[in-house]
Amino acid sequence: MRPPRLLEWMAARTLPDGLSRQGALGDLTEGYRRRARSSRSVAVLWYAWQVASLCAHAPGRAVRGGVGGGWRGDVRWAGRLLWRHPGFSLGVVAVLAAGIGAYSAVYSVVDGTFRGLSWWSDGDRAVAVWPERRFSFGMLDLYGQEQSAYETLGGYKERAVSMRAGSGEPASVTAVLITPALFRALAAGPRLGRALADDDGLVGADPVVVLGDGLWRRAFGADPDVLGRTVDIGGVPATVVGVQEPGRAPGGRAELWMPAVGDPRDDDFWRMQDLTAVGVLSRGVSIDEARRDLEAFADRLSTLFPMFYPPGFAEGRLSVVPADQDQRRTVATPLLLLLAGTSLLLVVAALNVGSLLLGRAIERAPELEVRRAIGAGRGRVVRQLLVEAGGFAIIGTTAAAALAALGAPFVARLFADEALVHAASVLDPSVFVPGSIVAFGAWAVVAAVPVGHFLRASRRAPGRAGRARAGAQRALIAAQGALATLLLVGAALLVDTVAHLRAVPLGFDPEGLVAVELAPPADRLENVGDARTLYDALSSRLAALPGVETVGLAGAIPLGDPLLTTPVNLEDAPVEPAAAVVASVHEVDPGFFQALGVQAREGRVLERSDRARAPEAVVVNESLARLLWPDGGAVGRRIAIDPHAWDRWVPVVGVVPDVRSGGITGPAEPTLYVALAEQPARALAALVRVSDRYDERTAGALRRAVAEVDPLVPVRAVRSMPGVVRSAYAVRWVVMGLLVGLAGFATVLGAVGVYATLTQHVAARRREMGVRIALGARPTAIRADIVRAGAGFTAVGILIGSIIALITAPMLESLLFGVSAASPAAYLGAGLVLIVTALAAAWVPAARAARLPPAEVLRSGG
Amino acid sequence: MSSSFLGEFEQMVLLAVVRLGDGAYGVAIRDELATVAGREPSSGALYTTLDRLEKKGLVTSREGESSPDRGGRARRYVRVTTEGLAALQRTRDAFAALWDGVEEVFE
Repeated sequence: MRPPRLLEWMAARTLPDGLSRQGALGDLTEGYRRRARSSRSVAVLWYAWQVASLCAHAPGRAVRGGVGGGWRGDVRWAGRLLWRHPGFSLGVVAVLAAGIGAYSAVYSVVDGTFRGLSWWSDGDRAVAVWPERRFSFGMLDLYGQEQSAYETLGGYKERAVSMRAGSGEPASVTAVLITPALFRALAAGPRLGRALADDDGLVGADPVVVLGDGLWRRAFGADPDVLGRTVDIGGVPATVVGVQEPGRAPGGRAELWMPAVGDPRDDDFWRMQDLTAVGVLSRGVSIDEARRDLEAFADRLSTLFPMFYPPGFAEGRLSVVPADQDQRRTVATPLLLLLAGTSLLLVVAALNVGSLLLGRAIERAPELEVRRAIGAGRGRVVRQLLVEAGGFAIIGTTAAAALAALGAPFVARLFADEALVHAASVLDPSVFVPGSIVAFGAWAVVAAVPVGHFLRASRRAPGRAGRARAGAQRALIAAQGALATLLLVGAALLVDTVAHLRAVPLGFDPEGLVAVELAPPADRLENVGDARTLYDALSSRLAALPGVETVGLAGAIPLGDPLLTTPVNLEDAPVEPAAAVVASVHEVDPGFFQALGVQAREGRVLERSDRARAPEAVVVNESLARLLWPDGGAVGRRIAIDPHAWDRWVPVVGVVPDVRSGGITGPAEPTLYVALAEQPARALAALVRVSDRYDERTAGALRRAVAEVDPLVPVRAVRSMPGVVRSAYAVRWVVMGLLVGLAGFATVLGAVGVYATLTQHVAARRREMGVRIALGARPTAIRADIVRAGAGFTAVGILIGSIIALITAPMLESLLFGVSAASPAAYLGAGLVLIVTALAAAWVPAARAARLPPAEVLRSGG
Repeated sequence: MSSSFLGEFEQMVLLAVVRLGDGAYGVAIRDELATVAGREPSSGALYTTLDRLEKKGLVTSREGESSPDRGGRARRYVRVTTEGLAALQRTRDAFAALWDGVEEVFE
């Protein structure tokens, strides 16, 4: 029953050699054993407490030249300095805490998100096959038979479906339909029950569903007896066969999984191309080999279906990429950019604090010289400086940990639209360890500055030491300036980007428009009559609400889900489907154009009489009209829009302005509008223009109205259109905001650095300046000197920073819009901000220098 | 060698050593103080004081027996020297003189 060795060792270090140590250690062991008989933990605590008291009372050994010798003396000295200058100390701690805290907060989010992104259990072998294209069941089936690169090949698609458990209210959930073999290959095993079996994917098999952990808890109260229960999915009863472990199965936002079933007798088996193909590479097969295999398949498609896939159709648009690369792109770049930004800020903060401590060390140079004169080795003084820096670092890091714990969820919430982003806990080892290393690094930088200076200065003659100091401080200011420039340029580029995004013409006025997205179950729309009844009922019920001006229905909202596409044939210039212009298809009712406030530029918009099943009219947008008929005259022409009925002509009755559909950054999509199709299991949305302000009550009223029309049609979301527009560039907006904050902070720090350095500069050269003024130098000249010095150091930093920014800015390309990474405005703006700040920071010490009373200065000896 | 007066804790430790006679070593001194004076000192306070007293010549130490219970380490027995006794006496007389006539405040 020995006391903990580490504690024993620590105790031995604090006791003088010889009998004193032996006796004390033996006594401590005795005391430990006595207490350990009743409780070991009490004994350990007691022992630790005794060791702490020994450390606190460590004898003041007379070390060579030590003033208040030993570590205890150093700590007390550092504590005294901290206490005596509370403003300075608080400032330093705050800067360190902010720098380390910001870094750790962002790192937590990066770590949490990136770990969540690797949801493919066999990470390095799972690949996205031909992500540029969606597969139909037929294509997947064919490729599956002919491929030789994958041990598993399958596909999946994501859908919003309505789910009802028992007699409860239907809710909208995100479902992933996936080929069972792929599900088993990727998911890491169920928590309850089983995974999807191959038999579940056969035509005519009983519908089954595997629940996600979140949905199981939310909708089923984590019921362990959920297996075997029947739930209504989109109007179809399905049996629950399993519950997945959280985060360990395919589908970023998937709440449940069902088998994707393809019936070869169905038209859609080949026509409906909506599956994302994913494969698990066979062992020993490289991505390049898989790509060549895919190229062979593309050639095969050309041989079988030359009408749809002419030779060379996939040239350059065919790839095989690691499965999570797709996902990484949407969140990786912004998050890594933020991490880089906070890293820069942290370096600025550390340099800043280092230079402040350097300044103080310089002020204490006489004291340190005295110490050395009475015999303190350089190591001794270095230890003193290290302890001081350490004190700040420890307090700063503790505060930083608290900041990070609060800040990480805050940062993650800013990316609320990106479901994949979340923060790992700060105490998680994968965050805590790097964070501690970073904090240690910050301390090292902070300590290195005064220590480095001292070591260099102590080797030189006093006069040269002054020059060394000036050089060190200049370098620090330049370094901070460079880093601040990087942040400012990044921030400026993003501000410009967001400004451009906000100026993109939407084609409609989002103010006052509310989007109600629904997920009607299949059985609601089993036949055309049912569908039309539902649409009419929805329109009239919503229109009857107080404050509602107009209601429109559509298959998708602007800037919402991507639209399906179709090739377009021209009656007066027929082409093969493979060579035809591809247009997006937007199914809308007549109220759609009214609700959006869109009026026809030529001809008319759709009317009630334009029905879907036998489309009698089509409206095109300006982009499509320009593509098809560059010389104009779209109205009255006839087109075919079904590649399987390639000569069934329908007239174009109107041309409308471009309305943004999919994304906000690309060019407007050529789009044609057809009467709302009455096919089952389609998404549906209502666009409601309200005259009052949109708030929670409006949303509630809309939801209730839908429920009154049909309680079994769940509402997926109710959002204001301005909100939808904002979320189209939400990620950039967030990154911009954070970068602006970081850049601002770095600029302020830089200014503080300039101010402190120049203040010291002035203090050190008081005598010289007093002499100059006494000899007739004008105050303006003195002032100009100082200001020039401050601005000069900063300018060097700006130059270096701009060069680095030019080299690294292309990394931002994927986030930028409407502005190039080398935009002169951004660089000039950044430089201007920093110079102005440096000038302002230099002004006060400069003015003080100019006002020095020369007689006093000379009398006092400078 | 100091001819000034003893600090409060130094007094207590010396008195405990006197009371314990030949059996005065770390653990015993601590227990004695705890039982009689109601104050259990920390190791840091105790051992630094013992070292200081030894340096001032007011106590001497000698090596005692070791035992497995102490991890094989010897005991450090401490004894008060004549100077130590004189210092105790001096301090006690000083306090007695100061206390004299002050008792009525405490009634």
